[in-house]
Amino acid sequence: MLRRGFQVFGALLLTAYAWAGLAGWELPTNAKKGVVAAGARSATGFRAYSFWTGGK
Amino acid sequence: MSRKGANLEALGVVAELVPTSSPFRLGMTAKPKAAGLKPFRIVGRLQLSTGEGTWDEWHVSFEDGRYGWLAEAQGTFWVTRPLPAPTNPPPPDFPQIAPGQRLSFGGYGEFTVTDRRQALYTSAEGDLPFAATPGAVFMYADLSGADGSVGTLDYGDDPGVDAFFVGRPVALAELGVEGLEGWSERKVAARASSLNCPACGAGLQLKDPANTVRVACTYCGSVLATPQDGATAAKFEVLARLQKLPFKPLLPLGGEGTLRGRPYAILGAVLKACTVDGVHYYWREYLLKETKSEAYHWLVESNGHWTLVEPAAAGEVSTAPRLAVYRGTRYKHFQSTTARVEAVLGEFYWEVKKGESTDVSDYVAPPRILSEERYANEVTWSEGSYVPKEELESGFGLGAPLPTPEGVGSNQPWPHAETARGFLRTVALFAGIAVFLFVFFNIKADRKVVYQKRHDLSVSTTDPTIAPDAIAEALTVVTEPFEVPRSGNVEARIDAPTDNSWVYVGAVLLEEATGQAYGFGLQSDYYHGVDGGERWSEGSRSRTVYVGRVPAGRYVLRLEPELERGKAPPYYDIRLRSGVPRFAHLMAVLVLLLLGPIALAISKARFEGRRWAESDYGGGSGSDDDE
Repeated sequence: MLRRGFQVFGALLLTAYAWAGLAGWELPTNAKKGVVAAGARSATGFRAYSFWTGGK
Repeated sequence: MSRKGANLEALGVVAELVPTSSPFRLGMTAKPKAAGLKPFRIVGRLQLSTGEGTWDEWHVSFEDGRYGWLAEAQGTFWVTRPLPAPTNPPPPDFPQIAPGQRLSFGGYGEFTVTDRRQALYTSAEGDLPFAATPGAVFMYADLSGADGSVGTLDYGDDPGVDAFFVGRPVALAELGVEGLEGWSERKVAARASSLNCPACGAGLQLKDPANTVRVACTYCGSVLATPQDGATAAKFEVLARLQKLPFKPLLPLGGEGTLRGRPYAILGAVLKACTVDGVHYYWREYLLKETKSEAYHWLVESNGHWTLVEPAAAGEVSTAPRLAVYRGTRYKHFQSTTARVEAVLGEFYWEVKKGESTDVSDYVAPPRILSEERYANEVTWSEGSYVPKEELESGFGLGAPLPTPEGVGSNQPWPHAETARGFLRTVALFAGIAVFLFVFFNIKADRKVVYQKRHDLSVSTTDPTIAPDAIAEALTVVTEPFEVPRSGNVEARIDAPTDNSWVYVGAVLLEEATGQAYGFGLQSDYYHGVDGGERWSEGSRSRTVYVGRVPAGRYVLRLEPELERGKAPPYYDIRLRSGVPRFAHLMAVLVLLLLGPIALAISKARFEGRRWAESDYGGGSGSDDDE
């Protein structure tokens, strides 16, 4: 039973490793993910220093 | 009568032969199946006694004209031949020889003294190669060879060696003796197989009546003995009268069953005890008769743990401090103690006595155990193997389950050994697959540098008149667009010539089309110095972070450095690579795969700790929680 459980665990682990390798998945870090507002995607929007510091 | 030259000389009145359990008779012939043994005929019988028991040795004449001896004891048979006594070095005289002593006899090999006794010739029949005067006392030492052989040093009636015999143990079936009586026929012929207990009147059935010299009534516990005159031993006399059973055996005395492919009858049970630091420890030993080979074995039960024990050849055991080696297996010393007989039940082939004691040393190599027992004139070794209680329950057809074992037995195998082997096989297989995948990812990987540039920090930070906000704004850059060709991870690396200084760069990777932004930080810091004459350093000038699952597309990178004014490095380098295989991920998989075996290794260490807590080296008793 214990052995079968470990085999299932190992198989799931390898599947996860294969998926991570193919998808480029990374362990969670302090990196943040978000979407910049559509109106700011112009060359002047996000390139302006005030765009990033305005909320501070 | 003895032949001296052409005359016959009367040696005295020969006593009547005592009935024994021997399967042999005068005139029997044998065609041994054992290698190296020639056909022989039994031509004489010598009956001997140490006062504690009587046994036969059979004089045999081989077809090549030579002679030898066929001896038997406790279901074991030996064929020996006379050889010239060792001279280089010569054997010790009888007073100098001791049980357990190791002797080297040059070309004859090494031997261990197992038995050193005086005996007397009680009776004889047929042809014998020497004059065995009835009542004459002689001395001998039995030997066990390092190569499995057996030997006897015959001292006669003086301290010097008179004769030397060497041979081998041979199984009864291998002897090929023709006309041999079966065990069941023989027992009836020798003595009655049933009797009524003279103490309580209960009917007792004997399994091994031909050999039994002591019976402890299984109804009242009274100890019965054959009369001293074995020739009329048709009934037993009360030796010690008891009112109730001294203990309750867990196995049915008189029962029969099969264990490890061998048929056994359960003859008797001995309750034994030892005292350590004022605490009495008890265990039970069940005497078994292997009904096919007629050998006597034991089942030892201690705290619900069972061990099947057989005799071991003392000559094949070598010992060192805390170690014994037998037939290639190394056994660790577990404990030494003095064991004493507390009570007996059933039938026994020797004159077992309550209170008799022996020095015992146990050595373990789970599931095996090797034990040495030392008496005044004898040393014996036995080897045992752990038997799960379920095997006994089925082997002897026990109706009720045996008690659950308590704690860890001295030779109990670790119960997860098979699971551990399975785990290691699984780990090896899965680790191999993981490494294969890592190699595959490396072959397939882009490792493409999508952005690389040096960013200057020197100008703004050296001018003290510029306001801090203005510096931050001046140093912040948004790069020109660049392509990430394939979806996957992105490796970002900073490298700066920091020297007792630091720089932190807040970075945002921004996809132009979707506005998807990935924020992360990169820091370069390096400090060093000398403290108390010792050089030290900390931090790192370069660091790497990874951003996961970045889709292919067109990106810009915004970099906003933070620094300590006046101490910042003159520049920093940023490099982005896409599609970088992660060795750390492989290591994480391997570590996670090892968690199972590591957990089992901890379990085994705890198990062994509890085993050895009960040994001479434990210093206390282990906990009773089971694995």
